[in-house]
Amino acid sequence: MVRFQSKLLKSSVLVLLVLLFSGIAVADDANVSWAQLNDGQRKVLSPLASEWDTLRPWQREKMLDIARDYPKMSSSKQELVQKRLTNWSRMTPYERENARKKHQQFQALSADKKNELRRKWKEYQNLPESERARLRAESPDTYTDADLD
Amino acid sequence: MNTQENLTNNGLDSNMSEVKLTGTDLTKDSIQNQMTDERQITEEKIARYVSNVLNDHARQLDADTLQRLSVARQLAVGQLAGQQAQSAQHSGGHTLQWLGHHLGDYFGHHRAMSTALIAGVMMLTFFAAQQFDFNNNLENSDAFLLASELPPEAFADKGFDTWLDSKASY
Repeated sequence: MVRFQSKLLKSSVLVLLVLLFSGIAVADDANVSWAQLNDGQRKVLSPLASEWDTLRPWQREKMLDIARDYPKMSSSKQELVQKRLTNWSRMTPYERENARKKHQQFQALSADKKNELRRKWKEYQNLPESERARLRAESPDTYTDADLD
Repeated sequence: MNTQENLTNNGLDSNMSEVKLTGTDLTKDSIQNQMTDERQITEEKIARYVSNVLNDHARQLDADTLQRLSVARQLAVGQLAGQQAQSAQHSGGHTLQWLGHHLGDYFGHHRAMSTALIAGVMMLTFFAAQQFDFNNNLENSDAFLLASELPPEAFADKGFDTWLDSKASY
């Protein structure tokens, strides 16, 4: 029985080591330079080519996730991703996290509500920049210096 | 001596087992079948005779012997009932104990296989959890956010939220 427990312990340690090394492998992926990316990743992330090596590891990791999911999308959506990628990479972590939460809420809306929100976004964009700046300043959740890191 | 007489009385004579070949068309198989049938009939008659003899003798037993036989029968029946109750209890109440004991023995004797089995189940659970997490997060990944009907700026712009709130309050 003692031998059995010993083998069980060894196998558990082995499984944990496998999991640990798989985690390390993922972490290493986030440190790759632009030259180390494969052709597919470089094609997707081409809008970020000039600034890739200045991105922090966690930023690269998120962008590599985008490159991973990119082939699963239709060509029209792929085009949108490439068009919006640069602005996305320049957002602060706070802005991105906020956008993720809002996107989830948006996904849960009905088709009518989504259409209405799209229409209102266009209307909002037609406002003068000074007006939009005033509205941002009025927001109760104004950004702090830490958020702009 | 009596048995021999009774056999004769019950019609068991040597003529019963004789096979009469009355025609030239009887095959070897039909002869053998006929012999088997006649042997069975003879055995049944003997059994019936033995049974009758025993019954006759039983009716002539004295009261003391009958009493002893009755007590012996009750003892035998009681013992059999006890054995059956014990057997039922063993198969019902101790089933789990028996199962646990045998499973313990099995895993004890097949340690390598048990270890491999547990490791396999752990790995399978890990990969299944990863796959579930991957599928679950796919629609919420950043790539799908970027390809959304609204640009990411619409979700991140706090001025847009304020403006929507002000429109809703009117």
